[in-house]
Amino acid sequence: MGRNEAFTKPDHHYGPALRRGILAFCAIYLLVQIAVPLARLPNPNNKPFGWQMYSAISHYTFSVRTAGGSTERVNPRDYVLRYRADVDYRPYLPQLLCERVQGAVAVTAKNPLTAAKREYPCP
Amino acid sequence: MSVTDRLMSLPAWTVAPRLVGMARAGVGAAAIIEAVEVAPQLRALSGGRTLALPRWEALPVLTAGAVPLFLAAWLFVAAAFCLGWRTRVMGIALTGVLTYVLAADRQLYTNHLYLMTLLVLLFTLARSGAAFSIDARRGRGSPAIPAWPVLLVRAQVSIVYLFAAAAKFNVVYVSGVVLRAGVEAPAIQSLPPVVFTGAAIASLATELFLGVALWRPKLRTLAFLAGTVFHLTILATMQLLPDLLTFALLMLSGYLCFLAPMDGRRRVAAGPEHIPGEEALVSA
Repeated sequence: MGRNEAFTKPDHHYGPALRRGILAFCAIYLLVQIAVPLARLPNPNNKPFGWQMYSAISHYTFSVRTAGGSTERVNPRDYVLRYRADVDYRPYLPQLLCERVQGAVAVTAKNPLTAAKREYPCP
Repeated sequence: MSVTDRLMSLPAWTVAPRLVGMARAGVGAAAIIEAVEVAPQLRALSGGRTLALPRWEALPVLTAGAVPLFLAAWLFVAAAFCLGWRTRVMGIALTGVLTYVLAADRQLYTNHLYLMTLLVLLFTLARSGAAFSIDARRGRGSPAIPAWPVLLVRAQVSIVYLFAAAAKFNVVYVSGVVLRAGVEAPAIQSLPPVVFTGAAIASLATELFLGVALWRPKLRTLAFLAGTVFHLTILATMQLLPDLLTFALLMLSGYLCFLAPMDGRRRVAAGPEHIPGEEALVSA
């Protein structure tokens, strides 16, 4: 701590056992707060508990193909709880769209940046 | 004094409570805003109208009838924590409420909700109701509070900035497309790509700077100003305004724990609040 710190000399309220407990809590707290984000770091895609705010983007568009042969683009906001541009909805949304859109036979996710597409057939 | 002795003495070190109490009030205010923000999402989840992604299947889901009661309890404990009324009890209760929301559904997770949960826990452990609170006005104040939770708040603020910066070290972010997708105003969206590349690099550098500079007394004022401008710029330009407002409030509250020593120091006069045998320092 720097010389300008306002921390004072210790008081005497804590016994040795409590002091050890507090130190253990601090060590575990810091360990978790460093280890978890470190483990998340190789894949910065807004993974939870990793402090990955706005670090990457998954701006996929979704469209549904129906049995009649028509294809309609859907707005993810109509189906998810909290839409975020940096969240990857591909693991969840195709299955939901298959269930909710009448006559759906397949859902296509497309990345407008790379034009990469993947089709998810409905069960 | 040996390293072991120094380490063992750390839990008993104290800090002046006033700015920590102000920081607690900021975190409590953020918790109130968050309750309003999350309310429609909890209602949608309880009504089965949206995609549900429970984090733990065993955790009971709030029924439609229970949601208003849960939100009322959340608002009550958050307001009490903000005002510093029965701070420890309300802090424990608020930590429980926020933990439940984090655990209830994976879509309810946000970095600021997670940060809020951690800060409420740390400010509760710090006995932050010792000043700038109803508790203090009712004679339950103290001239000094434990320093170790305050140090953990400082560490947390740095960890957030440094890992946020580290995660941005990727081609997609540095190119500026992430920022371009996140800005709200059409006038800004139409700016040339090089502007977004510059803004991306600047934001990354700012987060790195803040993660380190807040610890350096000589850089702290500059870091405080840079951080304030940084969060205000995000608020003025990006989408998801309530989320970002809450995040800014939490981080700026965390700054107060760094700023406490810069607010001037004086020794507490011996009196009813004096800790026997000790000389506590408080902010002016």
